[in-house]
Amino acid sequence: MNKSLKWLLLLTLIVSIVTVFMLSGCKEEAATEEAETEETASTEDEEEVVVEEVEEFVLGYVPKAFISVYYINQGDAVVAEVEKIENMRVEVLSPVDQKDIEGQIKIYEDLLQKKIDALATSVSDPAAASPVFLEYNKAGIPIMLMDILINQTEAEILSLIGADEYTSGKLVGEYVLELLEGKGKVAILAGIPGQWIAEERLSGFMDTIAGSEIEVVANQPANWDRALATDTMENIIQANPDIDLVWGMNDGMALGGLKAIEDMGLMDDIIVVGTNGDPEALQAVKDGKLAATIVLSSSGTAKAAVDNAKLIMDGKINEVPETVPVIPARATLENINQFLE
Amino acid sequence: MNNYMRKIFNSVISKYFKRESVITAPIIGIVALVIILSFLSPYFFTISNIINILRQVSIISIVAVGMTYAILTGGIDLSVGSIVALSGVVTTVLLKNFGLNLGLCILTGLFVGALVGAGNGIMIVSKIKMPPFIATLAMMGIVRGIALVITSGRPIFQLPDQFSFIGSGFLSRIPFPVILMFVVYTIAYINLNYTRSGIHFYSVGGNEEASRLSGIKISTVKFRAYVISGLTASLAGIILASRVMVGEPIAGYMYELDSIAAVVIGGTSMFGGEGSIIGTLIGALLMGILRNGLNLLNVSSYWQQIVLGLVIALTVSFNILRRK
Repeated sequence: MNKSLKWLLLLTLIVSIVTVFMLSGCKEEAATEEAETEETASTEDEEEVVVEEVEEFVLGYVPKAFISVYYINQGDAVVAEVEKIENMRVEVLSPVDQKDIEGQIKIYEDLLQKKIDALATSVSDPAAASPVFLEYNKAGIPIMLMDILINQTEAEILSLIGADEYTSGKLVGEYVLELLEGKGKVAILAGIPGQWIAEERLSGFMDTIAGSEIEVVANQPANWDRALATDTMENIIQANPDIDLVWGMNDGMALGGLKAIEDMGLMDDIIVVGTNGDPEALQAVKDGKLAATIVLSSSGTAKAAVDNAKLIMDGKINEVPETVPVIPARATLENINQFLE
Repeated sequence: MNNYMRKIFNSVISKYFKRESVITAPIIGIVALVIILSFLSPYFFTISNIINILRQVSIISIVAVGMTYAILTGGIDLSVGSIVALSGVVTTVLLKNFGLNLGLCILTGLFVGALVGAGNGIMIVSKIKMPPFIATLAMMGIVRGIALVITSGRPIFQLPDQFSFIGSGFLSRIPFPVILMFVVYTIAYINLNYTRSGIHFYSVGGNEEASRLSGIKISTVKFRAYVISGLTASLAGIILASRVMVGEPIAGYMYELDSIAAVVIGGTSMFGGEGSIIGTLIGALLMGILRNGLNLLNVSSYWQQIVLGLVIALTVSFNILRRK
């Protein structure tokens, strides 16, 4: 029993130490900021400092999950932008995985308990998040959705912030027109049909090449999946050996298609273009394997969200734009260095 | 009180405390956690947050009831997460696409869960005697696949409003799923402690051979455990679908592992025969409080996983030491 008692003590001790340790670790940023404000308020007594803390504007930021570079960059950018603003603090919480829809909803519920002042989030399942967002509406906490430009929830959304997907398709179209000089055969490795992003990118592309002599000989869904894109690409080449260019609607599919083209020894005959600006794709552009990719700016969406939060904080909630389309950029061999850090 | 009465009274009490002694560690853990978190966060010890925690815990803790049965018999049920998804999907598809009566949809959802549990049971107790780990692992894939096939991978939404009561409704100030959780635990508690069929789960897990010789039908007991597990998982699936108002084929992510964690934190032995249903509830609460507290304290998801892992390792090692 003596031995177990020791264990018991150890257990509580370790749990509490770890909790306290992490707390201090995680609140470091906020703490230094607070310390600064305290210094400026220097000799005033503690009560007033407490009042100041209450007045602090708290933005909640919840990504789909910190498993892709896109969201990690977005999260870093949100923190950096918020640091520039006095009296604003950000609470960053993320579910473990994009599939952990319930985990994300629990985070929304917990942030609601903390009575944050605004929420900026990239929601994994808009329909499933609707009930909790309706509770935010009831509590009067404004919601900004990131990485999407249409409201697929049943709740009231203050602002939709996302990459202008139509423009990213358009940028690909313009580049293809330029490269092929208005004439040629193009194959598309498409995203999941019916999905908003896939449809926007496609119509941006199609509208741009309309009227030219560019012909889309194949438009096959590879469901954003790299491995599936390799198989699909092989099939497309079997049917259309004379295509000039392939557009992968995301970089994963573009690289998957590239793999098939490499394996078949057609690297010199077929040009590959991607979209998204994933690090691997940017490297492939630099290596000359990928002709171009469209860089969707995660820091752009982050900045827009924090700008909106600033407006809310200053009581100018009416000035917050309903939608903020973030314009993407085209990365080719000529300008690739500005995208690679 | 005469001597005889006192003897019986003492034996009942001591037996009770012996069984329930496994919950000492998690209870101390919860108390310590509540005290620490109350000091660290002003939002933690409020009525609305306590209700919030109970509601968040209700779904996984119902899954953990069935898992306790499976583990008590010396087995395990890895298919619960998939059953959560399938029952939610079946119920919502019937509601939306076929417009059936709400009660009928729910009963069908529960029936599907029990059916999957029966499938597990048959694989485990039939002549082949498949190890529970393998049988339910296979079922996990099959059931998840069926949920995806039924929905073509897309969530089922725009459900009738009346469906939302199960997951989001309140009776006075208490969320309905929390009431369901207490009902399920009360039934399981009475069954496991005061009925013959319940005590059989303990004896089969404790010593299969002795149970067989004393006339217990091992296969029936094990079969029942998996049906119960399927049933509680499907109830949880329906509550979850109603809570988010979506039939989601990828719902129940990692539920098998979370519910196993709740069961072992609660002091139930993975070898079977020893454990407590109250312990499971406390295990689920401990994890729920910890997650909620870490979220309130703005601890990143990376660290949260480390802390949860540490808590599991520590409470379980404490329980193993107690048994020695």
